[in-house]
Amino acid sequence: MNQQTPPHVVFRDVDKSYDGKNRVVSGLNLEIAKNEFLTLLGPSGSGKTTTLMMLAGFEAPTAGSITFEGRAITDVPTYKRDFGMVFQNYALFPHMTVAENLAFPLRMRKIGKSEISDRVKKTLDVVKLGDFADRKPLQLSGGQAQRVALARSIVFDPKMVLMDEPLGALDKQLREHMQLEIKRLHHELNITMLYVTHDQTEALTMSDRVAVFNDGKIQQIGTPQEMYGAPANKFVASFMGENNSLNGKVTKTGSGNEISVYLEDFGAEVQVTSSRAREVGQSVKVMVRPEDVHVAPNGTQGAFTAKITDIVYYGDHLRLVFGASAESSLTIRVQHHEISAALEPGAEVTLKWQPEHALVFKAGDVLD
Amino acid sequence: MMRFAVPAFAILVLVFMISPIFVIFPLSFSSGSVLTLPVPGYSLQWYEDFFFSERWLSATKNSFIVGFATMFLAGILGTMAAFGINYSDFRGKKLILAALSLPMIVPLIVTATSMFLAFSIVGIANSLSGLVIAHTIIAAPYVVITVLASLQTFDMNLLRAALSLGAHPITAFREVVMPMIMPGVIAGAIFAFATSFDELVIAIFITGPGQFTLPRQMFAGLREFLSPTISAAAVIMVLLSFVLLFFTELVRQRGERLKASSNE
Repeated sequence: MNQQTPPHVVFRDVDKSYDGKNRVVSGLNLEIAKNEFLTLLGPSGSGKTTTLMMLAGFEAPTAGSITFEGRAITDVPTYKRDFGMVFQNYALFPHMTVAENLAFPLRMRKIGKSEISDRVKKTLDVVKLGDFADRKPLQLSGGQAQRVALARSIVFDPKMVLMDEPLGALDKQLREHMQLEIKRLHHELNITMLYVTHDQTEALTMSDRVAVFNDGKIQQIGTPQEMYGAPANKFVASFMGENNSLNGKVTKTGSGNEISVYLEDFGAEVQVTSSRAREVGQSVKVMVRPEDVHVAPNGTQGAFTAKITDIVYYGDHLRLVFGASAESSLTIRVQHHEISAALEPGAEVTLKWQPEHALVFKAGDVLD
Repeated sequence: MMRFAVPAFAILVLVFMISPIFVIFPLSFSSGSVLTLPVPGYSLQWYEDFFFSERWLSATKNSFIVGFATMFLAGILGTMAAFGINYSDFRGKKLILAALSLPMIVPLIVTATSMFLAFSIVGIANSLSGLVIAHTIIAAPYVVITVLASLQTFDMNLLRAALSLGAHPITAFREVVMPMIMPGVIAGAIFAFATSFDELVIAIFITGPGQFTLPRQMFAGLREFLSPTISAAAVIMVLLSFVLLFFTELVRQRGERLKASSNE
């Protein structure tokens, strides 16, 4: 995060292959700053977990180097790395009580008995499980078990904490609660955290920075705001939050970033933003988020009309769906007061967006 | 009709399988001196003969020594082999697993012959240690199989967690892996003991009279003196098998409980 702090962890040109042919991670360059909360986000098989496993020392890179505080750690075994780790399935030792689980890393460090019990107690209080010290992991709920796992990963003052989809096994409400809990811990402990998830909401709400992985490569890395507002390519645009993807052809280019695109499925010309030079006639994808499209009065300049195919009720808001096929449909998010209650499928509505909210990517190429 | 036929048939099968074992019980309490049914009367003379005969006691002692040594060696080797096979992924893993279970498939008489020849060369034929080595070779595969089975349900993340918490791999194995796979290890060890305890073919080949084990002594008794003492010995062995069965079941139940907790 902070550009002044030297990087804590550096991945330099790291490759990982299990069979010598397919690279699970390829040419990875990544710097993690001290005390930052970095999330590796991506679909399964994108290389994010492998990256975490290499940092934890469970996997060795096929090529490249990993340094921690300036020292190469590739040859340092896991048990000497001093990184706390949290797993999706908690990985609590079932034959030990909660307190014994927490005492384990301290015992491994040959810490005295009385200090162990002090620190165990203190850390259990931090995760608000002080009364559960004598329970066995089997007697805990999922949320409690994961809090114990969290406590166990921080009780020995690790140099950083690695989390591999820690909330994946919890239900939605508990997840949201635990997200806040982890964020609070990060804040209180002032510690570097590397978090792996496939859940973009988690990535957006918790992280200082997010690195989006696909096909063993980082597609983009930046703050949640950058990733959401200015995705570098179509993959990031569609993976971070919801996005509409509309087929279009460039009709007019100007001196600035703003260009005109003809939307084939809606028969309308719209103003959009392109970070790259486009040629007239080029096929493009226009990506615009559901919350950035608004219903406008008839005749608004730069707006276009479309026929509603579906209205979906979401409680706090509504979603209007336009377009014939699912592939080229446009979904927008509206508040109840923005439209009249009498609106029905089949009705024509005028739609408008700010040109800077509609991004243009080359059709076909995912990484454009 | 079918409602009764199926259970009745099942019970018949069970009787068919088990009753021959029980024939030995009345025989062992016979007051007569030949192995025939019905028995003329009941007495404990054959048990007395067993417990006061130098020959039988020495055979029992040898059986226990070899049995426990085999259990110990096969337990350690089999557990290490199973963990190694389960943990690492390498080419030829299936081949090694097949090679390890070879002693279970190769006819015992073939194994016994080759061992006799091989052990003669290195000079450990006619010795208890030779018998222990031979029994370890045929018993270890059972340990490999039971430990592999319990490793199937072992969550490798537990090992990873232990390592990440600063445990040396050996400590992690001892403190985290062992308690979880203990039921498999113990079950395998009991199998190993049982394998050694009732093994005859190899014992015939590589023990002299000084190293006779119980089965070997019974075999000798059957051929040479046909004394009902062997029926007393047989009953003692059957009872011991029951004890082993009981232990295996106990361990299995404990294992189920731990498994349930690790899957939670």
